[in-house]
Amino acid sequence: MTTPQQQEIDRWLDTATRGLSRKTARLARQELYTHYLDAFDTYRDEGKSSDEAHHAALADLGDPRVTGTGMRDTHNAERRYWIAAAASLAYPILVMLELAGQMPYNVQGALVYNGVILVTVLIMMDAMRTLLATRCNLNVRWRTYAVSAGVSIVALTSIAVYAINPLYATCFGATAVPLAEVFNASWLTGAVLLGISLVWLGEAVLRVRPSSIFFRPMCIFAILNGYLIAAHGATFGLGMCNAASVLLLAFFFCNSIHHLMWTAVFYFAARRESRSPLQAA
Amino acid sequence: MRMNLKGSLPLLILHVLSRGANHGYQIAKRIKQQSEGVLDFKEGTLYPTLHNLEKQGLIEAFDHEEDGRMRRYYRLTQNGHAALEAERANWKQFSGAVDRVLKGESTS
Repeated sequence: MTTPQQQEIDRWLDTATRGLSRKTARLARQELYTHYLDAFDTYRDEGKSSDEAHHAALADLGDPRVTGTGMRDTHNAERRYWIAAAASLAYPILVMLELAGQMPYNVQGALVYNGVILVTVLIMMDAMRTLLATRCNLNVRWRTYAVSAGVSIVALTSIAVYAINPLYATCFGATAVPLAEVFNASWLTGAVLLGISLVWLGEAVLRVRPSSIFFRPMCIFAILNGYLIAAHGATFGLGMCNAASVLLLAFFFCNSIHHLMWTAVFYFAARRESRSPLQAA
Repeated sequence: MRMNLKGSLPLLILHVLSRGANHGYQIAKRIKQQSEGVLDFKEGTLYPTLHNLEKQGLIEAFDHEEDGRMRRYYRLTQNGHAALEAERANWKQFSGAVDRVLKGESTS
C-alpha cells in the first residue's frame, strides 16, 4: 500500500471514529481497518491494481460521516441521554420562574430565558434523534432540524425584541412602531414552523409506535403543543393579545408536562444504556 | 436491482450469525452473495448495527487472530436466538401479507 493510500484510509478512519472515547475509537478503528484490508486483498486477488483495489475497498465502506454518526449514536448514547434528561428539566423550571415573576423583563432576562430554551431544545432534539434511530429504527433527522429551526427563530426574535425595545414584547401586533412588522413576521414564521414541525415529528413517531406506553402520550402532547404554539404565533402576530396570552399559558402548561415526560424517557434510556453489555465490558 | 435494507439489516446479521460466529467483512459478503447483489449496503454502516446488537445483548464479540490479523468475531447469544425467531416470524407475516395483496387474494 502506498503512502497516499494509507493517508486516505487514515482520514476515513479518523472521520468514522471521531467523537468516540479513546478505547472505543481504538477498537472500532482496528475493526474497520481490518475490514478495509480484507476488501483490499480480495480486490488484489481478483487482479485489480493497488490503486483500483484501494478505491474499490473505500467505496465499499461508504461515507465515513454516516458510519461516524451511527457509531456515536451507539456508543455515546448514555452520556447524551443524561444530558438531555437534565436539559428537559430546564424548561418547566424556567416556566415556573417566569410565572412566579422571577424572570426580569429586560434584555438580560430574555437572553437567559430564550438562550436556555434554545440550547436545551437543541440538546433534546439531538438525543431524541439518537433514541428514535437506535431504538425504533426511525429517521427523524429533518423533523428535529425543523423543530430546532422553529425554536431558534422564536428565541432569537424574542432576544432581538428585548434588545431593541422591551415594550415591543407586550404585544407585537398592537405596537405601531418601526420594525414591529419585521418582528411580527419573524415570530409568526418561527411559531408556525415550530408548530408544524412538532406535529410532523409527533405523527412520525406515533405511526411507528402507535401503542407504546412511552411514546403515545408524548406524541399526543407534541402534536397538541404544535397546534397551541402555531395558534399562539398567529394570534400574536395579528394583534389578538388576549387570545394569544391564553394560548401561551396553555402552551406553557402542556409543554412543561411534555418536557417532564421526556426527562423520564431520557432517564430510563440512560439507565438502560448503562446496563448494556458493551458498557460493562 | 439494488434495494435499501436499512430496517432489515439487524435481521440479516442475526441470521448469518445463526450459522456460526463470523466477522464483519464475512457477514457483509454473505449477505451480498446470498442475495445475489440485490441487498446492497455500504459496509461501513454494518459496524454501528453490529455494535448496537451487541449493546442490546443479542450478539457477543470476541477477538481471534487469523492470517496475522486480529479480527473481531461475533456470535449469537441466547437472547439473540430468541430475537431472531421473533423477527423471522414477523418477517414471514409481513411478506406473506404483501404476497397475498400482490396476488389479489382476499382475506375476508
